[in-house]
Amino acid sequence: MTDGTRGTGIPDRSPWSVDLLADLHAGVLDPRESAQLWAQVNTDPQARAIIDALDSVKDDLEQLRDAPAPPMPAHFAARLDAALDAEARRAFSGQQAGAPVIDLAEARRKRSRRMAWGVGALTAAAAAVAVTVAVLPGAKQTTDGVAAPVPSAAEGTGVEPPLAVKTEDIGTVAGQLGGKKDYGPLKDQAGLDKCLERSGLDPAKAQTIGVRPVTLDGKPGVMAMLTTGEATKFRILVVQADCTELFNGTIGR
Amino acid sequence: MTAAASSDADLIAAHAAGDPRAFSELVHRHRDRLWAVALRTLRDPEEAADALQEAFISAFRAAGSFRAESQVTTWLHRIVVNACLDRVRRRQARPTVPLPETGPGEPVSPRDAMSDRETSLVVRTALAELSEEQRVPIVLVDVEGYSVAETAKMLGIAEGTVKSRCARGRAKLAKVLGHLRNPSADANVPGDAIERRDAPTRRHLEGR
Repeated sequence: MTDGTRGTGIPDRSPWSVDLLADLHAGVLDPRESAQLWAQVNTDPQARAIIDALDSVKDDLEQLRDAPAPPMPAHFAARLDAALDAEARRAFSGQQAGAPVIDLAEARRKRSRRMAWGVGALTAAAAAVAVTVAVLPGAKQTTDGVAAPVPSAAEGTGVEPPLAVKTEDIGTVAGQLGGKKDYGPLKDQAGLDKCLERSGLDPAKAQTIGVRPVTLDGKPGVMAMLTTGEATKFRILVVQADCTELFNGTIGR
Repeated sequence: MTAAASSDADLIAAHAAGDPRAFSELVHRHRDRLWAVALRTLRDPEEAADALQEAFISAFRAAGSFRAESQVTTWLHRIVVNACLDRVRRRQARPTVPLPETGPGEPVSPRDAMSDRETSLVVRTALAELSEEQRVPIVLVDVEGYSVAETAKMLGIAEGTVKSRCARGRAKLAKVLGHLRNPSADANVPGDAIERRDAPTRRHLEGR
């Protein structure tokens, strides 16, 4: 190829640009240039090797579609189950569905601003004023929704106030526990483990997914989400500081 | 109805008829596969989990309008992808937060003598190295199997742009995955903004 045309009258493009061939391969080039280049590529082993490499990439990516992948992590799965349980309760209890999806990331951001928010997701009225309803200081607290942080001395200290939870909303609130480890009056995992044992649970088997202080139907306590040995079922335990059990049940299936 | 013996379409119908367990069964059948879709589209597990939750709740509410002529899995897949793309758009509208280049414990390594599972891990990790601009169209076209036209419509960009971004991404993956025997032979293995020696002579269709 001394004349740079390989005798075809077409300029020799060796060494080939991977970008150029990737564009050719993807159909980016106009038909005329594409036809001209394919004619060259098909007679040049170097170019063919690059095209083959790009084909291999496409094959790898296609195989990814059905390749085994890691399952959804347990704490995310629990959160999803809890959200769907809440949605099912709303939909099938005769209450009006159609409230906006709770954006968990947004909810987290709002909590972090230490605002007292009531997450109104149950009524059309709440939907009309967006998902969240600010509770003015001194105003009656809204507890219709998923969970409402109780305004307390903890505000502004960097410590999240306990969530006010009703027993019937436990499944929903539990979904917000994933990854949080605030033991409150139990202090640490050892404190929680004592309560687990008091409730007849084996701390070695019931691994803690999330913990945080709550008030359950007005009684202060600590809520823990625990593994059960079944991937889609989680135990929710709410105990007081002295390990008196306020709630012990499972969510998921 | 025995949930285990029901088809996906039966479960959707049962859900629409008021069976409170039917949708949950459907979610448990498809959750992990759709989690993988969300994760490779968004990369960030927190965002992927939120997108999947939004998608399933949207599907829960829209199940009554599901048309039996389409497959439930296709329908769910599209809802999940759309929820992910909504988040991509929102993310692009706010200042970028850098994500780790690779997931924990998932180094890219040469692919010699790898099992299929290891290959998948390497491909997933390499995919995560692409910029979002390249990764998302590649995931939609090459992994999820959407056409260039569908992808362009979903992303709100021209078909030529989809092709071009896929081309850039595949070229980079060819290098990262070790498919190019001598990737340094041409100094033009793509980064995000490498000048091409032959660019002036080329007529690109991007944006058409």
